[in-house]
Amino acid sequence: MSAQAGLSRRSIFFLVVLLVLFSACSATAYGLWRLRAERVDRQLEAAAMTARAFENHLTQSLNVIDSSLVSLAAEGAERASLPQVLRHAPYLRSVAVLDAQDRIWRSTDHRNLHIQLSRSDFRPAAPRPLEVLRAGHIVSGRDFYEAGPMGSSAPVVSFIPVARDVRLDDARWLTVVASVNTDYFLNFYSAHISPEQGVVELRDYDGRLLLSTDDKEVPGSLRPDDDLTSRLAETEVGQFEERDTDSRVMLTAYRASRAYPFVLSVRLDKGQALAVWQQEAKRTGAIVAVALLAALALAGLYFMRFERLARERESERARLRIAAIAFESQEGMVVTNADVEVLQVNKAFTAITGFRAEDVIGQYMNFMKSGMHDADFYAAIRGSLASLGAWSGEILNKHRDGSIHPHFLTITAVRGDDGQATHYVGTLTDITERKSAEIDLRIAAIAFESQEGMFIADADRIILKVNRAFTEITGYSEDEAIGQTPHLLHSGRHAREFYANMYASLETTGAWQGEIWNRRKSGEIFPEWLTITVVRDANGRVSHYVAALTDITLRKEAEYEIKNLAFYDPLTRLPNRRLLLDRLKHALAILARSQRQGALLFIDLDNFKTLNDTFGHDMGDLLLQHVAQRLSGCIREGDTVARLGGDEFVVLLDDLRPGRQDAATQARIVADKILSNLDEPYDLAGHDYHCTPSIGITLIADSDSSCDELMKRADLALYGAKAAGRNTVRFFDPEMQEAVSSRAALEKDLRIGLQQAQFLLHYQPQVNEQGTIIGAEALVRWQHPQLGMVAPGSFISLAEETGLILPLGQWVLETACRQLACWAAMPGREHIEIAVNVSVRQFRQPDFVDQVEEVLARTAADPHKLKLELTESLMLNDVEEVVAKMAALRSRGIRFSLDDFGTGYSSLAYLRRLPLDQLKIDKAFVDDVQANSNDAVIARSIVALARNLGLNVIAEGVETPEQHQFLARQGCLAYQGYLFSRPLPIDEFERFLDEWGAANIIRHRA
Amino acid sequence: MAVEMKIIIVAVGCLLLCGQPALAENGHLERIKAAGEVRVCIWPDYYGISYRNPKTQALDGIDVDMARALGQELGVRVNFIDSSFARLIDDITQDRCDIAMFAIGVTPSRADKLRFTQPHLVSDIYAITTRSNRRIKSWDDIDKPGVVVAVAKGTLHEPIMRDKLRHATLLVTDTTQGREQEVESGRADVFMTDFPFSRRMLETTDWARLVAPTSTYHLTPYAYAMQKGDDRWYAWVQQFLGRVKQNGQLMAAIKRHRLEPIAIRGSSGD
Repeated sequence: MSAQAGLSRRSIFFLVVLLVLFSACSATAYGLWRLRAERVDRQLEAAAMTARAFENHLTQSLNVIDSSLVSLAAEGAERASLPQVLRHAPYLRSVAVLDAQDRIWRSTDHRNLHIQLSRSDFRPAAPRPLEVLRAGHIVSGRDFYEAGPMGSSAPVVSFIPVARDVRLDDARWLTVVASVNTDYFLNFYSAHISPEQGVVELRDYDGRLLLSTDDKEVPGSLRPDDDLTSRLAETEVGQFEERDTDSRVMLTAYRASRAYPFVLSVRLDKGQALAVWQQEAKRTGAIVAVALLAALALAGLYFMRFERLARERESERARLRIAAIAFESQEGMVVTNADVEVLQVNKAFTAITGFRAEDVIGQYMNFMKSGMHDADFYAAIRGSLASLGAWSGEILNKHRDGSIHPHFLTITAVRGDDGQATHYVGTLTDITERKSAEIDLRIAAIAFESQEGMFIADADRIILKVNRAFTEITGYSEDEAIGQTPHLLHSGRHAREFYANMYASLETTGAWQGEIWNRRKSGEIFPEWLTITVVRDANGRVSHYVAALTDITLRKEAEYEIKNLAFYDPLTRLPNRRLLLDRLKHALAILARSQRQGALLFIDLDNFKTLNDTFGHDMGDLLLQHVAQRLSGCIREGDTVARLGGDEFVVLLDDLRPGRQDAATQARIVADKILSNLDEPYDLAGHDYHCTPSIGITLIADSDSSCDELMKRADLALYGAKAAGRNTVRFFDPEMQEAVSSRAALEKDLRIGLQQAQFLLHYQPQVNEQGTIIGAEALVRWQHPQLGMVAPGSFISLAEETGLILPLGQWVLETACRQLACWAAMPGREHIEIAVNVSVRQFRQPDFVDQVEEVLARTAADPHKLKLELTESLMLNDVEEVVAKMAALRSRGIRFSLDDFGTGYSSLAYLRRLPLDQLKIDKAFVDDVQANSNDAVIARSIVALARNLGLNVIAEGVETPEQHQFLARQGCLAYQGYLFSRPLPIDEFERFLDEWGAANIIRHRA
Repeated sequence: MAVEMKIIIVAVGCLLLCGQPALAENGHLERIKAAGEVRVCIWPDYYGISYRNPKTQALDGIDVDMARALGQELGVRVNFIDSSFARLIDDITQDRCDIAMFAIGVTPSRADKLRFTQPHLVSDIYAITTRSNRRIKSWDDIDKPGVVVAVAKGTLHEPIMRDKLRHATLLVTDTTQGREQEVESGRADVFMTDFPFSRRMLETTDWARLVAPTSTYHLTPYAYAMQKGDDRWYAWVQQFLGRVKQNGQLMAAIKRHRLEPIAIRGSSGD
């Protein structure tokens, strides 16, 4: 709707409303005005009629008076019955007959007698007798006898004297008079006109007021100059409007008596007359106003409704126009009803789908269903329409020719006032071309932005386009590369012919591929795999070159790496076992043909494992790299240094002088050089580190020995060197081989022994300073089937190395605990404690505490009787963990003794932290307390230290009474050793207990 | 009611049986029965009481109604005899009528001569003047020097006003019309009358103006009058009155003639 139309419509409406209002008001006003005028007219008329009626009454009354007086006179002056006249004449007070001197001669009221009247007081003036009723001025008083002049206010009672001259038959004149009752007329008038309605007045021709129904008016007053008087001069009857003394507007009608000199005027209060009209006017006004208001309200409502409708019509029309234009757009459009039956399609729809309007109108809108979408797809569309009122998206539709095309379809629900869909409008575009173009482009773009570097050059080899990978590979950005030729990447590594061949191939086959060295922007030369394809135009001429290049640096490196990994040790870059064996084989072959000798040196770093364990593998690796470097510096160029793994290095010397002795000497020299070189401190990431190697050497002399054999021999030699105390060199000899073999056999036996329970425990008593046996140390023994009883020194270290120490240690613990439990039930033995040695490896097990507790539980041994002996090497481990384990066990009552104290490097700080109970002075110090003052000091210090730390001290290996006495002097309170007893099998130990108790040797000897 | 009726019947029966020999000859009741009519004196100018409409000559008024009821009760015709207050005593004493039924004011002088029934109305005195009379505005203006007060001769007002007026001049007219003429012509200022008559003046003339006493001036009970001496007749009438009061007939008549303001309610029997 245009604003203009709305405006004009609105102004017309207001104009009409104004007009209607105006006409209604004017009609009402006119009607009321007419009513008023009519009212006034009627009132005037009423006044006139009243005046006429009153005049009539007056004239007739006077006529009656006149005739009464005449007939009275006719009766004769003497005979006349005066009262008779008054009988039915309320307008008369009295009648009288005058004598010749105009004195009252006879009267109905005797009080009037003899009163002198004057003819001149009556009007019309007549000096001679006149046969007319004449009236005098109004007189105050009831009758002649009371007559007095009129005062300034109305008298309480008054009368009008009248006179009549009557000619008698005898030609005499008789004058009869009467007093006229003014109240009679006033009664009559006021009965008809109330004071509120108006005033009735009677006056004479002189303008003298005779009567007035208005109390305030004074009868007798002259009003010669008022309106009425002047009008009376013109006409005897009239009516007019005037304003009275109270400035009331009066409607006045007057009428002169037909026969007597009196004028009657009736003045009606116009306001009073109009009061009714006013009331009526108010009522009418109110009714009209209400009616108008109602009409206005209705009109307003109607107009608003009309406006709304007009707006709706207008917008509807606009919508339709827009819809019509939109409907014939380039997009296919289809309109359906709420049941999805087609109502209309446009031309574009037909152009796109092939379906004509007449084919599809009235059909259910599924004729384009392609079958390419599942039910969920359509359900989603319906859902979206129901909730959002619209759906748009791509859909595959079937055209009339059966082909399937992707459409971009928008469906909009047209909703009615109730929110329910009344129609659906579908708009569709065929996006087949767009789709395929899109796909092509996307493929091309993805292809171009692949991991391969690509560039496109024109026929003149000017680069037109490069991709991101190109920039990444070559370092040249798009801006830098575009406009250049591929010469930009020229490395200079290829001869001119290389490029000539390339272009020849392109020319003939349309493609080329191969490895090529190019130069990056950074100057680095790198290998790349290049594929060039020629693009030809319609005429077959070359239009573009498309080049794809892959950086194959990494591939090359990987190839190298693989080769390296196969033959070299990645950490040290030294040949690995494989290459070593290869070279060894090679050397063997050469040596077999020559007189020259060779040698194989196995080198192993002492305590390397400790380094790894304490400083970590990074440090270990660093050391190995240093070692590798130093080793490489110790040999001649033709020789080989290899790393087998761990800290095992091998040096192959394959060009030694002939002759076994010379070769050995030469090898020895190299070995010494290695020893001294590796003995130098290492700087490991700022830490100074010292390490020594052990070297085993075997000479390659016997051509019959195999590689494996040689390797084994060198290894054995190394083992020998290690056994010889490390930091040393050993040559292989056959005895050594024998030892190794026997060791292997022993290990095998050990396993069997464990399985077959060949182990047993011996107990060495421990005594206190009183010589009482307080306990025993449990010591393991191996009852070997062939070798007999084997001492622990021969198998414990092997058991440690092989891990067999764990089951062995477990067995020892369990057996000792069983013994404790057994003794606990035997009187005299229940106090015996057993000390059990626990190896570091055993203690280190994470579940060691649990194991001990399980054993205790299983055997029901009293933990307070169990003492675990630990070695100082335990402290090399995580002290926190050790403390935690010890504390856990100690809380169960188990006590700890530190074995071999003094041999390791126990730190005082550690000692403090460990929850120990006892220090055990090592046998080595005890042995020499007599001879070696140092050892004596140490022993003494240990005792003092223990005392300071609040620990017990026990000395082991006490063999002589002197040793015993010495230690006792130092304050050592417990002892163990051959002086008391050797370790005894259980039955012997028990017997010893009994005997000892009886004999109390110590006391005896003391 | 039933008990009363029985008493009445017994009383009547007793009277009939007991008084028959002594009064049977000249009693009004016997005469009425014998003549088949009852003579009722009325004043035909007594508006609302016993008024003869000059246009139709029909009688109308409460006492006309009551007289007819009386006749019906007696089972005889009613013969209305015109009378007036001036002639009342003569008419009764000379037996021109059996009963006077026109709301006769019970005054001592009348009671001397006549026998009054139980009163059924009571009226104060009212003054009538003209609309235009400037002297008389209210009751208090009446007894002033120069004021002429008219009363009709023979009416109960004559002696009362003669007695009461101190300053005003009393004018006694021979007729009731006379007093009206005197006032209308202005020779007198007011005339004194009772409630029913004042009503008549106001309704039938357009000059009359009512001046009511500001407080009770002089109440006069109205009753019916009859000869003295005829106890049976008197008793019969009294019983009749008792009945009509009892059954509401009297009150209905009062209401019909709009005389409720002067009805004697206390003794109306309801």
